Amino acid sequence: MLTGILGILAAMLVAPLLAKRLDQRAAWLLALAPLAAFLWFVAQVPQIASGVPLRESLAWVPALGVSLSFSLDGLSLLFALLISGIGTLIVLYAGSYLSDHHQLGRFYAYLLGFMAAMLGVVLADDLIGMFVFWELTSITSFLLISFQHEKPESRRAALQALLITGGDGLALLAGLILLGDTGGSWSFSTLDSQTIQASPVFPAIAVLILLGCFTKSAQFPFHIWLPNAMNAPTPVSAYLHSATMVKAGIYLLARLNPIFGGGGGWDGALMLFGAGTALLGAILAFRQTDLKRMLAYTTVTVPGQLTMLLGTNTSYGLQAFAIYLLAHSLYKGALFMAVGSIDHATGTRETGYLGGLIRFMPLTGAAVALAAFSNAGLPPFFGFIAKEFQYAGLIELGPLGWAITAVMTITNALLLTVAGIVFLRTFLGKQGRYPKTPHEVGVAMWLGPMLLALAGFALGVLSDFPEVWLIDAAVQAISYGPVAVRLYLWGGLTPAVVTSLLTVTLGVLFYLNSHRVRNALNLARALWHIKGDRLWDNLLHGIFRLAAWLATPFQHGSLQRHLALLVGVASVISLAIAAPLALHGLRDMQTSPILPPSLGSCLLTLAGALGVCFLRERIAQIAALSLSGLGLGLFFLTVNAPDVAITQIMVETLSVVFIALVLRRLPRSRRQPDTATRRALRLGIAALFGLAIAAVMLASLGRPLQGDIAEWFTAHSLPLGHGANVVNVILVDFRAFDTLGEILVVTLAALAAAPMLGSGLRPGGTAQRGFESVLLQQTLKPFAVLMLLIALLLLWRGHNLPGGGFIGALVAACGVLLVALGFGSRAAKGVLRAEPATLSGLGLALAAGAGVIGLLRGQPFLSGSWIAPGGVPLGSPLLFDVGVLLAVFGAVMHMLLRLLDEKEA
Amino acid sequence: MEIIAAITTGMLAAIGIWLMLSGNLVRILMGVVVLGNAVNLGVVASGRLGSSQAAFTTMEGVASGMANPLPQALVLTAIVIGFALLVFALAVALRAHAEHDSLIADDITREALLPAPDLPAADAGEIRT
Amino acid sequence: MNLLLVSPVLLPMTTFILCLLLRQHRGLVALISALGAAGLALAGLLLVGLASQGEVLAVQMGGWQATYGISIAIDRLSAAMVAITGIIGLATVLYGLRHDEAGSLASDFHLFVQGLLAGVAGAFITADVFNLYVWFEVLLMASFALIALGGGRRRLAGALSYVILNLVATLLFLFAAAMLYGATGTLNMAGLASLAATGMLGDNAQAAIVLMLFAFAVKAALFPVFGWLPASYHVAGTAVSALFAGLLTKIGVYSLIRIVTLVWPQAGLAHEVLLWVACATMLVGVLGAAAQVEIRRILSFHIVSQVGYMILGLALASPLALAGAVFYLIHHIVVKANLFFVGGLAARLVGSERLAAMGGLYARRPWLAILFAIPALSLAGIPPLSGFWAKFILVRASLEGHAWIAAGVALLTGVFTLLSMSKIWNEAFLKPHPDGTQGLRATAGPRSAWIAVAALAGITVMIGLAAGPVMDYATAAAAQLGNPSGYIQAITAQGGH
Repeated sequence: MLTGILGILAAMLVAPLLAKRLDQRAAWLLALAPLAAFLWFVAQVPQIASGVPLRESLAWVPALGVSLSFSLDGLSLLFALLISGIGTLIVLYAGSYLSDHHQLGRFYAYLLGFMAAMLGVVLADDLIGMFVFWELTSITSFLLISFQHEKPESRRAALQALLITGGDGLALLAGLILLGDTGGSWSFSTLDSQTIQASPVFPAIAVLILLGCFTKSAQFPFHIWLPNAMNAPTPVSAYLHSATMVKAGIYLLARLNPIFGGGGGWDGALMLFGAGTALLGAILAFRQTDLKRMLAYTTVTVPGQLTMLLGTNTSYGLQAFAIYLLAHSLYKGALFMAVGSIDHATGTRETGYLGGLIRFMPLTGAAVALAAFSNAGLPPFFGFIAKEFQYAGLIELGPLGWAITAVMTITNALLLTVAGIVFLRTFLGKQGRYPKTPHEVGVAMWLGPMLLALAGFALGVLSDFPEVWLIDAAVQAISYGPVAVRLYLWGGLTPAVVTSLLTVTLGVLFYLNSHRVRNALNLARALWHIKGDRLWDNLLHGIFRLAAWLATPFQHGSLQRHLALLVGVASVISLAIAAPLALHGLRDMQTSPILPPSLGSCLLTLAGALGVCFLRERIAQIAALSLSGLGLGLFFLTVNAPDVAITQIMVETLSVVFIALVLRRLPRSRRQPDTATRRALRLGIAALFGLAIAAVMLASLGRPLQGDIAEWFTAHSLPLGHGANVVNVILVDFRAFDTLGEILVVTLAALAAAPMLGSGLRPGGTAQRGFESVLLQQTLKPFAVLMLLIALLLLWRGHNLPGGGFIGALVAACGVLLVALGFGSRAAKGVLRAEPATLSGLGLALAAGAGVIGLLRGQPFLSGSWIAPGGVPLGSPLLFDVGVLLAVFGAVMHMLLRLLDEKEA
Repeated sequence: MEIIAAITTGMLAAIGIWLMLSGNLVRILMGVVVLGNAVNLGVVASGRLGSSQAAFTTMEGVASGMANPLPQALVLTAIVIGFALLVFALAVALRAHAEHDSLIADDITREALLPAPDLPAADAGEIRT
Repeated sequence: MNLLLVSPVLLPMTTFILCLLLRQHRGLVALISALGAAGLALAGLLLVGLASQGEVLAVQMGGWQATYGISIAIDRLSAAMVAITGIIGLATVLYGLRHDEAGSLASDFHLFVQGLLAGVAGAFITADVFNLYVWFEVLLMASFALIALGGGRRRLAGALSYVILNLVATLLFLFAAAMLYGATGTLNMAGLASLAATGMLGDNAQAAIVLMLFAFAVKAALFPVFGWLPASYHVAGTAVSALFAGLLTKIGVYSLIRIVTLVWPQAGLAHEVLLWVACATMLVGVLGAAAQVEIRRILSFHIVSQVGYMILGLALASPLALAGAVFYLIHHIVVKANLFFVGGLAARLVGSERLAAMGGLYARRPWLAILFAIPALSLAGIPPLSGFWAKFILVRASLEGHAWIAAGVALLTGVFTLLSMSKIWNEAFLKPHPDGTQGLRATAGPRSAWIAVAALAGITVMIGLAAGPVMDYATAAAAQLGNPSGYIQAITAQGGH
C-alpha cells in the first residue's frame, strides 16, 4: 500500500515534465498510476470481503509512537476503489478540459498529490499518520482551488477553504492526541472503546473530532467554503468536492463510529447536524441557477445525509450509509464532469440559457440521464436502493426516526427536483441560446461520466455483486456489532417503499411548480445566504482589527517607551523577589565597616552623576561625567583594587576625549519641554529601578561570601601562575578565555565604529593638524615617548605588580593621542607604522596563538606553558598579555585616528 | 560598607536611567556611561569590601584580609568592554544625527516603522547586505 | 579532542583574524569566510556525533581545576546548536558571497559574521556564567556592526533602537551575574547546579537569578519586552536579517533553558509564570504579524510568536515538553533563516518588500514558490515537514500535562500562523503583479544564494521525513537537561591542577 501511494507521488513529480513534452496526451500516461492502484485494490477485494484485513507498517517516529501503518478493511477498500477509480477518469478528463492551459503540468501534479494524500487518509491505521495525510489533502486542495490564481475570487475561496479546514484540522489534532492518550493506543484498529467512553475527557474528544470532521465535510455551520470552492476548475470540483475530499470527514466519522457509537451524544449529534445540513443544502441547491453551484449545494446535502445515517446506527441505516456512499460518488462524479463538458462545449452553465442539448451531445446526455436517475433515487438504479434503505433505517428508530424521515422526504424530493432540472431542462426541451456552437466533447471527457453512470445502473440491477464484495465488509467495519447485509431492489410493500413513492410525488410536484416554490423560498432565504459568507468576511476583518489593536501598543517607534517598559518590568520583577530579602539583609548583613575614603569617593561619584543631570553647559556636563568616573576610580583604590582603579581612570580619560571629539560635531540641542506627567513618570521609573538594583544587591550580598574561589586563586597564583598580581594572573591565565573574548569585542567595536566615526583620510583631504605652538610640541615629544616606555614597563611588570596588558594598551594609546594632538594624525600614524586594525588582528592572533601552544602540547586550550631561561619565568600567558596589549591598543587607535581625521563640517 | 555601596549603586543606576529616558541622544549616551559605572561598582562590591590589602601574593604565602581578586578581574573586563560599547554608541549617534539631522531619539527611531522603500532599479542583480 | 571541543570558538575566531589581516583582498576574504563557516558546520556535526554517544563532553580552559577556571561543556543540546549555527553561518556567507558594495563593506560583512558566529558558538558551549556574558557581548557587538552595515536613514533608525535596548539588557545581565557570584560564591554552571541539587542555593540567590533570566527574556524577545525586535530586525540587509532571525533570539532561549534546568530542576512557581509568558508571547506575536503588510515585518513578529512555543516547552518541564523545545529550536532556526532568505530573494525580484507591490511570482518563478512554500508550510505546522512534529510534540506535551489553555493557545497560534503564511503566498506569489509582467527583474542574486536557500529547504524536508532519529536525539537531549547530574559530573570530573 505504501508503494502504491509512493507510486502516485512519483507520478506527481514527473507530471510537470511530461506535460511540457506531451501536452494533454500526458494524461493518458499519467492515468496509468491511479489505474494501477485501482486494479491492485480490485485484486484485494476477495480477501477483504472474506473479513481479513490487510496490514502494513513502517516505523516513523518511534519515540512518539507514530508509525506509517496502513490497514485495508472493508471501509478503506470502498474508499480506495472510489479514489483510485474516479481518479483515473478525472486525470483523463482534466487533460482534455484544461488542454490549453499553460500550467497543466502543475495541475496534474497537484491532482496526483491530492490523490496520494487522500489514499493515505483512508488507508492509514495510525492516528497521527492519518492526520499527516489529512493536512496534506487540505494543502493540495488549496493549490487546486487557487489554480486560476489571477482571479481574486479563486484566491479568496482557496484561503477560506484552507483556513476553515486547516484550522479545524488542528482541533482534530488535539482530539486525536487525547484519543491516543486515553485509548491507550495510537492505532485505529486497536483502540479500546470502553476506556475511551468511560474517560472524563470523552466529551471533549468527541467535540474536537466532530469539529474536524464537520469542517472537512462542509457540514453546517462550516459549509460556507464548499460553494466558494467551486471557483476551482471543474475536474477539481468533480473529484475533490464530490467524490473524495468532503468524504474524508465522513470517512473518519465512520472509522471512529465503532468506538464512539452509542456513547453520550455521538449518535444524536450526528443525526442532528446531518439532517439539518441535508435539508439546508437541498433548499439552497434548489435556489441556484448555475448548474455547477446546484451540484455544489447538493454536495452539502449528501454528506449530511451520510452523517445522519451513521448516527442512526441501525442495521438498515448503516447499510444505507455504505450504499449511498458508493452511489453518490458515482453519480456525482458523473454529473460534475458532465456539467464541465457542457460548460466547455457551450460556454455557459446557466439553466436559463440551456436546453435541447441532447441533439448535440448525445453521449454526455445519456450519461447525465443515467446519473440523474440514480441521483433521483429511481429504480432500478443504485441510488434507489440507497434511498430505500435510508428510509428503512430511519423508520427503525421509532418516533425520532419518523420526524427525521419527514425531513428526509422533503430533502430527497428536492434532490429529485434538482436532478430533474439538470437533465430535463438542459438536454430536453427547446434549444437554448449558446455563446458557442455546442458539439460533443472528446473521448477523455465523456468516458468518465459514462463509465460512472453505467456503474450506478449496473450496481443497482446486479445488487448481489456489491452486496457480497463491497458493502458487507464496509458495513462490518463501521458498526460496533455485527450487521446482516442484504441488498435488494424490491422487498415488498414496506413503509420505506411508501415513503419513496411520497418522495417521488413531492419531487415531481416541486419540479412542475418550481417557480412558485422558489419564490416562496426566496422570501425567507434572502437573509440566510448573506449571513453565511458575509460572516466569514466579517470574521477575518475582525481578526485583523484585533491584531492591529494588539500590535499598536508595541509599535509606537518610540525608543523612550520601549526603554521605559523594559526598565519598568525589570524593576517590578526584581523588587518583587528582592524586597523581602533585602530587608532581611539590611538587618542581618555582616557588613564591613564604613571607611571614610570609600564613602567620600562614593559621594564624589554621585555628585558627578547629579551634575550631568542638572548642569546646562555641555562642557560642564562632560566635566561632571569625568568627575563621576574619577570618583569611581578613587573608590576602587580605597577598596584595594589598584589595577581596576588605574584602568578605570585611563578609560575615563579616553572616554572623555572621545566624547568631546564626537560632541564637537553635534549641535547644541534644545531642551525638550517635558510635560509634568512625563517628568513624573520618568522620575518614578528611574527611582523604581534604582530601588530594585539596590534591593537586588542587598539581597544577594546578605550572606557572607560562600565558596573558596578567591582563596584558591590567591593561593595558586604564584606557584602555578608564576605571578604575584592575582588579578592579572586571573585575566591572562586562570580566566584567559574571558579575556580572549573581550579583546575580540574591542576589536569588533573598533571595526564597527571606525567607518561611522569617519571615512578615513581621503587622498586630497587634510589631516588633523596639530597645535601650532612649537613650545608645546617640544614638551609633548619626550612626554609621549615616556608614556610609550611606561606602557611597555607596565606590560612587563604587570604579572607581579600593578600593570598588565590592558593598562599598558591604554597608556600607550594616551601617548600616541598626545602625538596626534600635538603633531597631527599623520605623525601619529607614522609612530604606529602599521594600520591600527592590522595591529589589532596581530594582537588577537598572538593571544589565540598563545592558547594554541597548549593545544599543541596535548593540553586544553590556553594551558600555560612556561620556560625559565636564566631563572626568569617566561610563558604563554605573558605572550597572551602582549596580544591583549596589541589588540586593545590597535582598536583604540583605529577609532581615535578615524575620529581625528574627519574633516570639520 | 556594602550597604553604602548598594545605595550608591542604586542611586547611580536611577540617575543613569533618568538620563537615558530623556529622549536626547547626547543625554542617553551619558546615561549609558553612568549606568555602566553603577554596574561596575556593583560588580566590585559583590566580592565584599572589607579587605585590608590588595591582591598581591608573596613567596611567604597568602596574607589575611586580602581583597577578592575575582570580581576585580571581572570588572576590569567589564570596564574595557563598556568603553568599547560607548565608543560604538557614540559612532551610531554621530551617524544617526548626520542622516536625520536631529538629536531627538524618538524622532529618529520612528522612521524605522515607515513603509519599506522600493528597491531602485539600478540594483537589479546585486545583493546588498 | 581538546581542539575539537574548543573549535566552535577557535574556528570562527581564526577565520576572523585571517580575514582581518587580509582585509584588502575581497575575494580571498570571501573564500576564507566560506571555508571557516563550513569548518564550523563540520565541527558541529562531529560534536553531535560525539555527544550522541551519551556523555557530556567537557574540558577546562587552561587546564585549571573544575569550577575554579572556566569550563566548557557540550551536551546534546549544545552540540546540536553549534552544528546548526555552522550551517546557518555557511548559508549566510553563501547568500552574501558576492558584493558589489563600495570599498571595505564587503570584507566587513564577512568579518562581522565570523565574529557573530564566534560569539554564538561560545555562548552555546560555555559552562561559566560570566564567560556567557563575554560571548554575549561578542555577538552583541558583531550584531551592532551588522545591523548598521551599509548605513542609510531607515537602517540607522532601527539600529539605534536595537543598540540602546540591547545595551541595557546586557548591563542588567552583567549586574545579575556578579550578584549571583556574590550570593553563591561560584560562577560555574556546574557549581550552581550542584548547589541547587543539594538545596543549598539559598533564597538570596533567587533575586539575581530572576534578574539574569529577565535579561535572557529580553534577548529572546518574550512578552512583554519583545518590542525591540519588530522595531529593528527588518531594516538590516537581507543576509543580516536572516542571520539574526535564525540565531540571535535562540541564544536567549538556549540560555533560559540551560539556567532554568540547572538551578530550578523541579517545576515550581517560576514554571507557572513562564507558562503564562509563553502563551502571551505566542498570541501577541502572531496577531502582531497579522497586522503587518511587509514581508520582513511579518516574519519578525513571527519570530516572537515562535519563541513562545519554545518557552512553552521549557515551562511544561516534562521530558516530552523539553524534547519538544529542543526539536523546535533546531527546526525553527533553519526555517526562520530560510524564510528571510527567500523573502529577500522575492523582494529583490519584484523590487519591493511591501506585499501590495508584489505579485506574479508563482507563475513566473515556480522554483522560488516551492522554496518559499516549504519553510512557510513548515512554520505553519503542516505535516510532514519539521514544523508539524515540533508543534505536535508541544501540543501533546501540553495535553498530557493538563495544560488545556496552553494547548489551545498553541493550536490557535498555529491557525493564525497558517493565515499569515497564506496571506504572503496569496499576495506575493499568486496575485498578479500590479505592474503587469514588466514588474519582475532579471535576476535575484548569485547562484550561491539559491544554493543556500535550497539547502536549507532540503534540511527542513529531511528533518520532517526523518523525524524519528531527530526525535530520538531530542528526547535524549531532554533527558540530559532534566537530570543535571550528568552535566555536573562531566565538568567536575576534569582534573587539572
